Amino acid sequence: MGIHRTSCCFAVVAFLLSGPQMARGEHFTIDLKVAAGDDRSCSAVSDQSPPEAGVLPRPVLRVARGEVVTLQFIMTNVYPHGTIKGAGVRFYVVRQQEISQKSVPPLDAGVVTQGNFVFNLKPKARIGSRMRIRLDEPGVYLLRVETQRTMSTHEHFSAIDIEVK
Amino acid sequence: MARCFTVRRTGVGGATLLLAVLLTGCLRSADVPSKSPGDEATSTTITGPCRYEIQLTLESGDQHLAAANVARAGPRPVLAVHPGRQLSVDWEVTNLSKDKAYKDVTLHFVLVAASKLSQAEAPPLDLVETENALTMDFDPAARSEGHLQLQIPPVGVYQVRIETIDDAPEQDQIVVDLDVK
Repeated sequence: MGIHRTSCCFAVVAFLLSGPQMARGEHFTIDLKVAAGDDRSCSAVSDQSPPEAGVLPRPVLRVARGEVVTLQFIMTNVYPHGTIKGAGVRFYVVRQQEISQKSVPPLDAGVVTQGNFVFNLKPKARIGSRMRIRLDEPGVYLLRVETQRTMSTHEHFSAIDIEVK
Repeated sequence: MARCFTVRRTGVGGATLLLAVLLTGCLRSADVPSKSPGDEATSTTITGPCRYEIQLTLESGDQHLAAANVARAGPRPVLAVHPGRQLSVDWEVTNLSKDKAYKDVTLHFVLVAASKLSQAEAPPLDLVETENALTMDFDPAARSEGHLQLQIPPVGVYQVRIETIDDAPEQDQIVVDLDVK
């Protein structure tokens, strides 16, 4: 089933209206989506690290080689207690060995795209991104967006596996 | 005070609306308004005092482009690159004031298809290849930075733009062109 504008925007409105109470004491909400063509998409929410791969199962999107894949994430800082200077957000798509791999691959090889931002993280700050990529090589890829240096015992992330055939 | 290329708003652009575009983009580019708040904000380019220093660097293979928003003469910088290769993008935005803070500033980065080199108007965001936005408060001399490794999109002309968006009537930005051939 594709992402229909009505249902998708309803979900976004619900996300906006729900605010911090949906976070259940978490510091970040992360709404990660990936789509290909008109009929395939999946989404993931915030998980925590450690453990490195979190505790939630990762959704899998299957795409064809060379197909345009659209990524989008929206992160909201729901931690209300002051600004964290020099915090970061990082995202990447990197080749991995298998679906649901428990370890995060190193980013020194097999990276399709990546980005990181350094900024002063204020309460209610939002970070959003969307981009189109093309995966030309068959295999399994990890799409992951994560917080960095948030001065917490853990960081937050959201991740989806992409299988290219 | 340093003078920069800035843009004067003629529309209703603003951080909230810009994020609304991101939030309601819903992965379906056709759903994104063809004229975004950010586009309206770039309708008039002027040279005036800048609040931020913006530095932007693009690199692909041995091709390199560095630009800043300080006032200068000449055409818009262009980086010629090849499709399918990697493009490194680095940007830095620094509050030039030593005593003034700016609240609720959105930093907006976009790589979007354009019709031609040196296109004056901002292309519609339904042609976007990559878009990032983040909100923060800029304390005096505060800095934010971003580092991206992107796939170079298919053959064509693209605008690469980073801009500040807040309630001020004039915004700082820098725009360069990417010529993919």
